[in-house]
Amino acid sequence: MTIVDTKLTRRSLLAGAGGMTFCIALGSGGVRLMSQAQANALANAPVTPWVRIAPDGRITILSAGAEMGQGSMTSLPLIVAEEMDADWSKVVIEWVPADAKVYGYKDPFGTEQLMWIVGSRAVQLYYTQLRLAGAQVRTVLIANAAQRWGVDPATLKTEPSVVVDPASGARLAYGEIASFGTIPVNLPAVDASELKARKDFRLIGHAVPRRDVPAKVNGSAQYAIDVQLPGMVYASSLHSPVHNALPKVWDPGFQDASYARPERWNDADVRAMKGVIDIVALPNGLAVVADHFEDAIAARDALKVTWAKARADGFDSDRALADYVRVHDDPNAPAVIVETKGDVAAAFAGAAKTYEAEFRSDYGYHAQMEPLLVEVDPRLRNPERPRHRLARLSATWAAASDAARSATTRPNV
Amino acid sequence: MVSFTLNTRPVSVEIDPATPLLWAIRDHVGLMGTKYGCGAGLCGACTVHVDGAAVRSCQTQMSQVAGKKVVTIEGLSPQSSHPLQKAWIAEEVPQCGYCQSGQIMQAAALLAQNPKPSRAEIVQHMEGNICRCGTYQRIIAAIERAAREG
Repeated sequence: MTIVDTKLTRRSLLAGAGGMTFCIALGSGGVRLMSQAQANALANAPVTPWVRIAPDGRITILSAGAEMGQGSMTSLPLIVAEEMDADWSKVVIEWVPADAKVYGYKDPFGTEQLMWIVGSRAVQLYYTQLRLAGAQVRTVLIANAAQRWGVDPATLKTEPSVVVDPASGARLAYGEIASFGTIPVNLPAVDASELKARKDFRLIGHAVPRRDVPAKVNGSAQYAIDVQLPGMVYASSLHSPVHNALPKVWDPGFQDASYARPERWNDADVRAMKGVIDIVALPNGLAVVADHFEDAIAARDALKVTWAKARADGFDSDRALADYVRVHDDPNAPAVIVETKGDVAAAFAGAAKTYEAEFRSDYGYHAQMEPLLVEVDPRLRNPERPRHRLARLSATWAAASDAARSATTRPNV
Repeated sequence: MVSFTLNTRPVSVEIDPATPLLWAIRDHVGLMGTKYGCGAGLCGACTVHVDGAAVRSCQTQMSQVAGKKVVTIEGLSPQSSHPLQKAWIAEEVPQCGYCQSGQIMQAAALLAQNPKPSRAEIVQHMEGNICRCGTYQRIIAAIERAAREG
């Protein structure tokens, strides 16, 4: 549940006492496994360990699946573990850093590598590459066991975290192999035909408990809102209660904070409130920066802003729903046919029995319970592009304070 | 300065007595398990116990807890051993998990009063705790399991 610092991950995974470490490096076309030797040979390339087998049998696998309760952080390492034939009880999951160039899947609709965990993409788009990576690790483990026993690797099999020689009954646990094994500079290629058959899956398709659950019953799961940085201050922004209404706090042609007119809101009153550091005009509202979260919220609530007229003013969802029903019931209402398939009228006319029911649904609040937020760390370079309004707040504030600041978004859990 | 007991530990917080308890717990003491959801007493994510009763910490002023015993999700049990926490894992209740500290604290107050609640009593008691992932059926199943298995 922690947020991973690239350097920390490198250190913790590379530093262990012996063991085998498989790496991943900047690539095109999606994630690709490589040996640590090969990775180290890539001067200045961002290389990070991805799978590490420790001599005690512990297997650390990094997960690129941002966890929002859908299970991705468990599923992605589980796919690797399946093809590795790892003992799942010995697998420890750590987060990958937020670096799409290294850890992203290939965008199915473009050329970039992405880490967007959305629209059921994680398992679909990482699946094959993670399986191939897991199979490569297994191949390396088998090769090491075969060499030690002086047998043909093709005759060996694996059970969870153990290489087995069916002819002699000899067994070598993955941890033991990690204590003496070597990884070839160029990893053996594995093609899709060598992957496990679906009927042999021990993990994929089976009910495996999600790894994020235990931390979510004792308060230890860390969310973006829980991150505390030294010297951190808090900001809370006020937006229009109606979509797209702008506050009357700027001169026309708003481009940056210099167009803001503090005399148009209760600036002095709010600045005098406890803990308030600054009030920042945004393109779509105002934000208060304060020492504590509660001070920022209290000050934001005290802001008095007049909102400009918006297209959505006076919108009434009950009336809108009634309008839809009226249009639906009116055979002469103008309609656009999107798709035609079969003859609905004829099918109904010829049906032995027909049913009629009416369903209406309200506008639902489709948002998460954790308030939208972003942490901004001025020490970070090369951040993710700020994507939403709070990130823009930070950019605005940074400009105002004339400091080199930047924003990054963090995983949710 | 307001003094109270937090998870068996006496604490004193330099804070305006009108500040909600939630911020003393999170930003002053630094226990992050109690969540800020709506800040208006509508969602239940910030539920904690004050002298054994489930309250919304975003609607409870510091002046109201002076000298009292506050328990958060971190103090509910040692090593997540409360029957509800075990049942929550067994039923795999949480999805995003953001509301679940509040859900568990709300449920714990029920079982403390009524160790064998009926399904209807559970539903009624949990009514004010919102889950945006929609884990309600599993929440009920977990409370029933905790009541059954103790």
